[in-house]
Amino acid sequence: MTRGAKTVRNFGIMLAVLAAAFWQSPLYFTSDSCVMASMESLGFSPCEIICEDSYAGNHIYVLRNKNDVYAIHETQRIGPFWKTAGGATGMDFSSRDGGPLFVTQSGDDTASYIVCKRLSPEIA
Amino acid sequence: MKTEIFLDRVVQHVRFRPDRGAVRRELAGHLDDSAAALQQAEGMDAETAYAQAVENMGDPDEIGRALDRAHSPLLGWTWLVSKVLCIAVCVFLGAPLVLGNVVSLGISAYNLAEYSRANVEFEAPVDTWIDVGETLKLGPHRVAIDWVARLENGNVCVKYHTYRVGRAAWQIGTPHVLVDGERPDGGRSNASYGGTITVGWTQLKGIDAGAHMLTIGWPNWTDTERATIQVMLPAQKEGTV
Repeated sequence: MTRGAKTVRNFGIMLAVLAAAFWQSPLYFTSDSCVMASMESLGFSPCEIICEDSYAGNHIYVLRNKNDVYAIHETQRIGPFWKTAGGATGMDFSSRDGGPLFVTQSGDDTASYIVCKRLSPEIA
Repeated sequence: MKTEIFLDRVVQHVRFRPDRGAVRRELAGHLDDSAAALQQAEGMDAETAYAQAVENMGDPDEIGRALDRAHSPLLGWTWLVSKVLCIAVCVFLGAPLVLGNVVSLGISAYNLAEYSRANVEFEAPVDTWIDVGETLKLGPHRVAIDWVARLENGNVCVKYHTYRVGRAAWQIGTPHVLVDGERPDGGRSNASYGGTITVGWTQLKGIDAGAHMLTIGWPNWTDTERATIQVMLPAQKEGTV
């Protein structure tokens, strides 16, 4: 095998391994594709993004599906890629004008709270 | 010209330094063969034979420039970098990936066998077995409801296994089981064993002895043709309550 062929082979192997790792991770190229794929795997599809905000480098979404059930979901940046960082569905949100869309959750069964940036009265 | 001087003059033209050693060794091998042939054929001593062999090779600068063209530094460095990167990716990413998947498959195979109908053990004798064998398609998840077992103590056990056919950030949870369309009042316990194929079951407690329609699956799952299956659970056999 020529040196050129070996070089091509080596890069091919690398790409295959990286693609397999990427596929299995799963990581996504964009935050939106990550959240939509995550909602699909949770059985929340089809749904639409009705609100999006950034917090500490992550993206936080409020989504609504065809049954008018709301969900909140967070994505996290890993280098140039995105992965899911959890969320919840069926929540009743209480909005506070001017505040960022924000999710915090502590361990040991302490309470979570959500502050929504209300873009329309529909987000209750 | 002495052999070492000849070889030095040749390899100094090869700009891709990592190849100089190999080029030098190959040329030295040719000179050894040539000198050995001259010694045998013409009865020369070693020193004369090597000097003749070097002269027969030709101009070392010309040979060096020809070898440099054959050992391009750009291709050489690209190849070397690709080799190092490929080894690193395979060792630190590929090997754990393969190993992880093989182990996961092995665990799944073990669990499928261990908790199959032939091997599973219950806390009470089985009153009724129902082989279901139906699969639900839920996004990237596939959930096969394997069987339903009604025990003589009134508990009902639903065994399933799940796997993915696409990318999924989440594992699918335990299936819901409704009895005659309602969530049962008695307790419920779940267990699952992860792997490439997750094996699990959910056990309902305190189900009365009558016949019931079980609805198993995810009733709230949208965007699928079928998110639940229905299984008719016959009444418990007389004398076993």
